[in-house]
Amino acid sequence: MAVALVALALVALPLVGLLQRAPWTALPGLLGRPVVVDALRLSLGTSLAATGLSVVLGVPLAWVLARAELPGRRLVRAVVVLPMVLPPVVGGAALLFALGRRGLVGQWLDQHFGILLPFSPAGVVVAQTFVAMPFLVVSVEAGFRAVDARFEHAAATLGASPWTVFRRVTLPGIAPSLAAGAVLCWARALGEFGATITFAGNLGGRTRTLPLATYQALQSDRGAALALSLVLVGVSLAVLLALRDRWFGAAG
Amino acid sequence: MSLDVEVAVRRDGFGLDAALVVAEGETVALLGPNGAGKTTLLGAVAGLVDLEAGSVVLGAKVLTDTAAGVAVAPERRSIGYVFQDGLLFPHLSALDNVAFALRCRGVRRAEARRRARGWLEQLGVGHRAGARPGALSGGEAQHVALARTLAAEPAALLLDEPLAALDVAARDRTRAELGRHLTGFAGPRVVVTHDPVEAMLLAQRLVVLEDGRVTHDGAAGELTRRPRSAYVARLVGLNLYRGSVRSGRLRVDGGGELVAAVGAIGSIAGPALATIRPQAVALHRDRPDGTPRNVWPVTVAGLHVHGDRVRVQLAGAPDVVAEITPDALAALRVAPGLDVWAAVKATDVDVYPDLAASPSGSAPERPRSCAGRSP
Amino acid sequence: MPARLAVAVVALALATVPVGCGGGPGERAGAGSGPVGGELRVAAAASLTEPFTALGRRFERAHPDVHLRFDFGPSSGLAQSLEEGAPADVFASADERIMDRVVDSGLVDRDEPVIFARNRLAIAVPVGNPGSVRGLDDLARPELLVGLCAADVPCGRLARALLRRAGVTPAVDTEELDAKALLSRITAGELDAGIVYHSDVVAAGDRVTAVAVPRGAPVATYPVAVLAGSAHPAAAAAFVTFVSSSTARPVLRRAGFLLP
Repeated sequence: MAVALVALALVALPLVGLLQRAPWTALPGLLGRPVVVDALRLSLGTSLAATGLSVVLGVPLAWVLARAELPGRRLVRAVVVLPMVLPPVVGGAALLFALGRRGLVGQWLDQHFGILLPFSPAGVVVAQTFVAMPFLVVSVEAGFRAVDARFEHAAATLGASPWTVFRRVTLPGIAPSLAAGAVLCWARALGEFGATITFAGNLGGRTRTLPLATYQALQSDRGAALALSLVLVGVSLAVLLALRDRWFGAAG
Repeated sequence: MSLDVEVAVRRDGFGLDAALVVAEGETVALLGPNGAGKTTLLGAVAGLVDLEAGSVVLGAKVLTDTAAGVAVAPERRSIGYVFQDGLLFPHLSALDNVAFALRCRGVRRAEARRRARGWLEQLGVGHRAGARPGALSGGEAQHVALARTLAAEPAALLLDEPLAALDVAARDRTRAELGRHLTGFAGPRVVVTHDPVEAMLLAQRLVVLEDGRVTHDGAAGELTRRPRSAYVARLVGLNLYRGSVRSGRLRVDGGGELVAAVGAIGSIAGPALATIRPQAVALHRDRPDGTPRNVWPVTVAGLHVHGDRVRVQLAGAPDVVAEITPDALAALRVAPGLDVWAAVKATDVDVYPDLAASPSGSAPERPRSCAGRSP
Repeated sequence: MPARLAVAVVALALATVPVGCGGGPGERAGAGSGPVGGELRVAAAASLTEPFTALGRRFERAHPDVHLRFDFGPSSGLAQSLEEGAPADVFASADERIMDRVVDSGLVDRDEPVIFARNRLAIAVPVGNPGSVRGLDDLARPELLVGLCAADVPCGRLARALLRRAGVTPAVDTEELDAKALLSRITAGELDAGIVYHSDVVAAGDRVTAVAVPRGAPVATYPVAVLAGSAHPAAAAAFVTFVSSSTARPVLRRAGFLLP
């Protein structure tokens, strides 16, 4: 009981500290500052793009993990979820070595296609996707496993092609998992810091997302830092609210 | 267009080796205990289960032939399959469930819905078109499931325990309607059930599957009169004995001998089965004299009241179930543990050759006598 | 009584968890004259990493009872931490304004800071100069990947002043939080050019190539001071004196610094 209270205090107190220091009256003005507006706009754009990319790439990956007879599937799954436990800065460094200008693939992309991911919003999207996609994959894979394969069989006997079965039976079956996974993925992408600053750099309006702007503002402009933090707290609360039925429904 | 199936499936220690032929316009009931492989057999026909060996031929169309490497995809087989609990797509209305099959065949949405409504009305559930599967009663869901399958206009129809999910009242009503719809369907049809009454009401022919093998294939009357397995005997409530005939007597596997009327047993030699109706077994406190040719001592193992009759389970060589009246029960003062004499007339022992028993002696079912239907 | 125990534990947690409102300098105990010995915490600008590490070894040899612990980082960030109550005895900044800020918040006495070094700026390019950078004008070329320090850290502020004076609008691709981070991107070849301290280029040795900036360019000024709340004011004062001493000057010069 007592230990539980300490745990609660440890989690709740920083939040209280943030709210207590929040410049509520100046907030509207702070939120209107270019540094905040730029970061907010960039973060919304890149995190939504990263979520979209995660859905497009992650759903087929989750399907393969859940259904395909794949040799070494456990290894593949371990690789897929690695970014969830990897320090994001390490992830950013790894991205740099792979997709950076002198990286394994990045070098080739630069030379042959003139594509340079670091220091661009696209690089931010890649860094966010790298870190956030596993959340979607894990959620959707569980969804695929939970779908009763007999519904798919039933659809097949009714003349549905494998694609139609997937589209009209399997996908609706995983819709709740997909929605939850996408929300988690988006929240993670929105909060991404380490991989972004390491891989994509830090430039206002281009690669300086909300967390980067918050960190930087903390060193010079406390008011803006608090305003940015409050935006992120608000988003997090909204995510919790959106997922409450899924996470807290059973517990009441 | 007939359905000709011969399949072998192996998985997780379970083996299915079965052959089945269903003629055009014929309904075959597939009976068997749980785990016998009934659903696997349907799955093999529908192309949902991989075969180790075998073939599935529908009319002139080879759907599966492992030898030739043919395996037509489930969606191209024209085999309608009504699944055990209907398996209506939970995110679609009843109407859209039925329209699904039509949409898969390229029918436009509006037209598909119009025709789907026709099917629902034909099956008496037109008023539930807008309902989600979760809001349908068991009987309604089963009708919608059948409408959905029929809407795909299959060439053959498989139904897996179509009435199992229904309560008793709904089952009787639905069974009659199902029988009508089955008769109205032109192709071969297979109904899986483990209710012998249902099997006899819906089908012309009964196929019994036990432990992955067909143990009986024939008309309903033959099955009930001359069961070939403990399972079927239990279903129809007969005492069944397996043994071999030597010099006019059946030596029962596991102990005991039965004497049958000379005319019935005279032409038989080797493995054979015998049945005794429980009503034909008489019980006596003392060894009876006189006509009965089969008299042997038994111990009362249990009593069960069935309506106005009492079933008495008796242990002896062999075991037997007797069905007596409550009056007889009172007169005999029968109680568990009591030693009595069982008597059966030779004319009440029906002996017939055991065709399933191979020379090597590996019959599919355990060689033991069986009790009557359990309560 | 578990409930009372719980209240006590929470109260303890409240007292120990940093809430973000640090105490002023007056609350910090230990000021006054204590023994020279102990662990001396030095918060220093990232650009001082090499000379201070070398000087620290010498200082420790001369004062065996003192153990130095350096905290290198962007001057603005360090100042922020000090204002939040981070424990330190000496602060060495790469910017007089930041030292002024610390003085204004009462963490350093007004007459305490001493200027002990200056630092020029340089354009750093990867070895081989792949972007063919010859001078400040090249930083405006959009096809090059150019990095600067962020505008609110000293090297970033100075670099912008330099560019403004040269009338160059740079095509910046990233703003790093300190000169060391920027330099590492340049040595790795991720960037074609960036403006860093001359001392950083010297420290990087042959891993980077420097392109000179015009004479008369703005120069960074490095003040050092004992913090008012120091637990070891005597040792701290000794260190501040040491970095300005004739022993330290050659080390700083070799590290690429100018001397006042």
